[in-house]
Amino acid sequence: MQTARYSEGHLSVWRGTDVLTFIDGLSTNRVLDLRKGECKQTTFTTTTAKVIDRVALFHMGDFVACVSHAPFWDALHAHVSPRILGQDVSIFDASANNEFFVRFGHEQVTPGFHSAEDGVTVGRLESGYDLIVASVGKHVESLENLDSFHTWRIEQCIPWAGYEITSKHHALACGLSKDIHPSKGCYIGQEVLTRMISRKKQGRALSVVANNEVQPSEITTKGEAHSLAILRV
Amino acid sequence: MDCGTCETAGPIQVVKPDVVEVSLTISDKAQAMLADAFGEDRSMALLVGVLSGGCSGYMYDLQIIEETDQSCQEVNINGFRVLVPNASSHLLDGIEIDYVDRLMGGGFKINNPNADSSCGCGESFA
Repeated sequence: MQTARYSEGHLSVWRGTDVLTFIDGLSTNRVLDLRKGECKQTTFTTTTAKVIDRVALFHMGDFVACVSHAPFWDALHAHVSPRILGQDVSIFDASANNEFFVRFGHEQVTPGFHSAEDGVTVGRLESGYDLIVASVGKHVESLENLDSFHTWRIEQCIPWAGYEITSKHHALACGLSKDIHPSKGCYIGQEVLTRMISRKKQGRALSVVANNEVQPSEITTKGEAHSLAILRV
Repeated sequence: MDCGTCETAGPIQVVKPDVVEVSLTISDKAQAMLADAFGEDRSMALLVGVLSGGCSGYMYDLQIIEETDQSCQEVNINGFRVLVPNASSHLLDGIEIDYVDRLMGGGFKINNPNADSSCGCGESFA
């Protein structure tokens, strides 16, 4: 088991009675039934199903904490903000108060739940790794960068923001099929994703490839012998 | 996790579009259907709002109500009270409320000049 610092994490705190309805209407996974103590990943997409950002939601009881990718925050904010309209949703930026880490390479117990102790919250995500949010000043023993994490996720074929998860690709091509609820109903991008799934035609898919099998330009995360790439299928 | 408080984590600036004075029309067919729904009681109102979501980003929200907590503007058309929330007035100015009489996909329909596109079922728009 290893823990690595995720320096590009972003934390927003979403408060209000309409938060889950609001997020459910705008993203791919079913989050309406998220309960206190649970965490779940979902992806915000455009009308053409291109990814805006994939986020991890932590239901904290009084509010929902949303861990997203800091370089994508402006795009995500621009996407959700004009859609709040009259709904009871307020968003606060708590990034400066926290540090972010990923823990990987271990057998997860009860994925889909989070726990907190002494200012450190650990979300056990369905993707197979843990996302840790620690209040600034709390010590978390960790590697200083994500290099080992990238090696691990190449083996596991797990996508990551800024590498596979970018606005160039739709959510299925990025390898985010676990985030796409099959029957939750309408959300932005749903028509496109549903059509791809029902016709079994998604154009491109995330794959683990030997480095000499593909053009270097197709590699999204490069490993020593194997890499991740989003290839035509 | 430090969730922040109002002191340490300021609210993120949310886009609040200007409130628009809404004008709208209701087709004859839709007025006939509303007359059936309301009966003689004209104290009820038709709330025409917009929620986030749907395939295209915004969903229409039609309700027959007596009162609402939302800040609304009221339009009176041939005795029918129509309430439009100020928060979504910029998306609803100029709409026509129509009624489509068919077995599948029938019902009230909004023709919206502000919509760049609509989803197949007609319930959401962008």
